[in-house]
Amino acid sequence: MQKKKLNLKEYAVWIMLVVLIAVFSLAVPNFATTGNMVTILRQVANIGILSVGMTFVLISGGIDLSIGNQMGLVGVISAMLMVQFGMSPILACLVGLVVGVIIGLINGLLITYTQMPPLIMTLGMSYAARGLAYIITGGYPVYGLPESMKWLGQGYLFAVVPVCVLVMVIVIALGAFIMNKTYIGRQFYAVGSNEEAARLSGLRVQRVRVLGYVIAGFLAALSGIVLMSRVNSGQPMNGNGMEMDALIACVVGGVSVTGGEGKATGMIGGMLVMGILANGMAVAGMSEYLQMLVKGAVLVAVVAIDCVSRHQSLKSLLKK
Amino acid sequence: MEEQNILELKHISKQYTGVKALDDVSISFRRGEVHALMGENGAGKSTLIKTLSGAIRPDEGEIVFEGVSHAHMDPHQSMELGIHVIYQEFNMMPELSVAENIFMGQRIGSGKLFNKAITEERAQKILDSMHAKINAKETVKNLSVANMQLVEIAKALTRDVKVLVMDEPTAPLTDAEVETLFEIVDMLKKKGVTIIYISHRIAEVFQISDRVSVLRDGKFIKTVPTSQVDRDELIRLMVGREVSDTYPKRDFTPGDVVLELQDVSGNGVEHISFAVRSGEILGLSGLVGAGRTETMRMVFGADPMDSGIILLNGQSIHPTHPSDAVKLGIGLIPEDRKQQGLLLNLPIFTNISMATMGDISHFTVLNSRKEKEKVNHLVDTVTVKTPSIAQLVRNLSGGNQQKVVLAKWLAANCKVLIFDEPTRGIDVGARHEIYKLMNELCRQGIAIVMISSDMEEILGMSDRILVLCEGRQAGILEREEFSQETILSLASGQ
Ligand SMILES: Nc1ncnc2c1ncn2[C@@H]1O[C@H](COP(=O)(O)OP(=O)(O)OP(=O)(O)O)[C@@H](O)[C@H]1O
Ligand SMILES: [Mg+2]
Repeated sequence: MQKKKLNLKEYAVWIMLVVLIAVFSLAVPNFATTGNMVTILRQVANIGILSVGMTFVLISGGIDLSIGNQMGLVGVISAMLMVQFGMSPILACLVGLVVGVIIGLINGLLITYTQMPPLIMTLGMSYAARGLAYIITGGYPVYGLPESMKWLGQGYLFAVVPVCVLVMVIVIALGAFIMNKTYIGRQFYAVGSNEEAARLSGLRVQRVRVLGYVIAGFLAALSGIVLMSRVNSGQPMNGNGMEMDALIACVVGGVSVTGGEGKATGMIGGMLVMGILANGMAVAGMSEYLQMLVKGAVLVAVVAIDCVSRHQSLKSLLKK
Repeated sequence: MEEQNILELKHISKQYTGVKALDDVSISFRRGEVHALMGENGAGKSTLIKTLSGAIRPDEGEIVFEGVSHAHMDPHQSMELGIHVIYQEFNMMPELSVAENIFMGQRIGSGKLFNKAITEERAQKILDSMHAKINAKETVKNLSVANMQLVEIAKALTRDVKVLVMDEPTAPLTDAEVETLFEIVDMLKKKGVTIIYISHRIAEVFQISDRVSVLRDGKFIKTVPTSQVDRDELIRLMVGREVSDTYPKRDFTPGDVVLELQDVSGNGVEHISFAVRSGEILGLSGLVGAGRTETMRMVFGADPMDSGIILLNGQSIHPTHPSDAVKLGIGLIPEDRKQQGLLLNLPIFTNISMATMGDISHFTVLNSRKEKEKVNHLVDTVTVKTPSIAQLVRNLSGGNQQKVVLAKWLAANCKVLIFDEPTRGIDVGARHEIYKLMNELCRQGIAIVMISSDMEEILGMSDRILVLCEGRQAGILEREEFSQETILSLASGQ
């Protein structure tokens, strides 16, 4: 009989998730409550939405470091439109989403047509977005959002399901569907795996790459709007650094930073691991510095396990 | 008798998921012999070589080198012992110079610093001793494949090499270049170097090897002195059954002109004009660098064209991107499968359906049942040896990877198919299958352009042959005019 292949890469993140939940449930009294579980989901909602966009970009062989600061920029733009120009929340949010798409488009077009490294382009865009957010607000938060704007980030559906969690679930489900089940999704993998081979198979490689950044920009904007609604104000520094959390969630979930590999399901695992880790430690009363240390350690450990499992050596070790 | 054996492999086994790549293989190699290793695609040749170089560890068995037994090798140790492997896929730093590549990992001169002048001088000496016309200062990425091959050999010569392994060294070479390679092999043999030589070209094996060992499905079949077997016997040992090794005949006449080029220039070629009719195979011959690939890449929209007209079914077309060509029904099977043909870290089915995803999806949603059916059928047609279509392409043997690229374009229902070195690295049995397949495509009315450096293949399969020389059209030969001499003299510009 054939032994099923031991694929550490795919399972590592789920094993870790189970271990984490078990450890925190035993060690931290207030952790395993329904209330806390919902809190965790609410806490990961922003990162979750953001990570889907990051996954698309990573799979197509790029990276987008500007999505974190895009959240802040979109948040303040939408907030100002509502507060200072009296625009209706729906319209203001739509404008915010369009801003995200435009930023993604600029990233994508500049990267594909100048062939500059995505890391540099999006790093530049990250600073530019943050700068712009400070300039238009003068550095002050935008308060006084209409009541109806609260619903998205703080509201509940049927009094139990947080709306922001629902948004995340829909985004992830849609993202996973596109990645795994559609022609468009396949193209991302193809381009990330071997750009030239994809081109010679008749794929419009540059369009695919641009589309990745556009999706990332759109979802960054969505995430920014959700966050704005949750904190009930437009904060220019909102989202700063979240691109790294999204990146970590992706990598921990097995999405390759060199492109062509990774699954949405893995990313969900990665996001939950990071979310539970942060929440568990906070509930247990650990300091923020200690939390950073642990986050870093987890990232390195998971990637190390992944790299080792790719080589046969560990497999033969386990056999002996 | 035992004395002469420099290297013995004993009871080597290696298991991969679903595949027993090597199954109790024992072979011994003598000092100063040219020992050919033959077998079908996926027989385990490359895997065996990798255990020698230490790239992989065998599950079982031992490697006895000069009387010392090793359970496995590691790459550094293997090199120290004097074993050097030139892999099927090269192993070079394209951005560095020839000299730097040749002395990669070695310290030259007395100081701690890299001494450029001395390195280049020493590298040039080695290249000259091989009668290779290569400048040691040249950047590797600018070299032709043939010259890269020679640089790989030069790399081995910097060390005290005792066993030189070449995994399909001649696959990308033309006849003239093969001759140069054989002269070097001869020279090394005289120095007492053992050469392990893997190739699917049977004629070559008879030309240079002293003994030949055959593998089949991971098992060792036999070692025989080359002088004591004939071609048919060798094929039978490899395949395990009778296989025809002649070129299958096509018994129908070509139809109307499908693809026509009128005075096409650009991409390093000038004034190319030819026409291919439906059901016809036009062979494109010439030396490496003559512009064969360059011409067809323009037709496919992969590279820009400067001037001229391309007609498809009488209509002028202007493909500016491969996707235009694919839409028009033109397919190109590229020469370099690893760089241009395959998504190595993705499964077989993704690779095969890549050019035809539109056909198996409905409003971009893929129909995975339909895809599976289609891919399974194609995998059977071209006989890819694999436990499953979900296998990652990087885990396939070289020849089976080539079959995956072929299958991708068979899926696409093209009107014009451009085959660039279609049988590179493909074993005898499968080669015959591919020729039959090409005939079948012709019968369906497809026009085929076949670029090939294999003289037998081009003479055997083409209806007409277009010969290129240094970017210009040297002549078109009709069947009656076919001969190796005519082609060679046209190709070399005489
Ligand atoms: N890393 C791997 N994982 C799984 N299977 C593998 C791996 N490497 C090789 N194989 C399998 O082992 C078998 C032997 O492969 P190998 O590359 O040695 O063949 P080969 O004789 O060199 O063929 P070719 O003439 O096509 O180059 C093949 O069936 C291949 O699919
Ligand atoms: Mg091989």
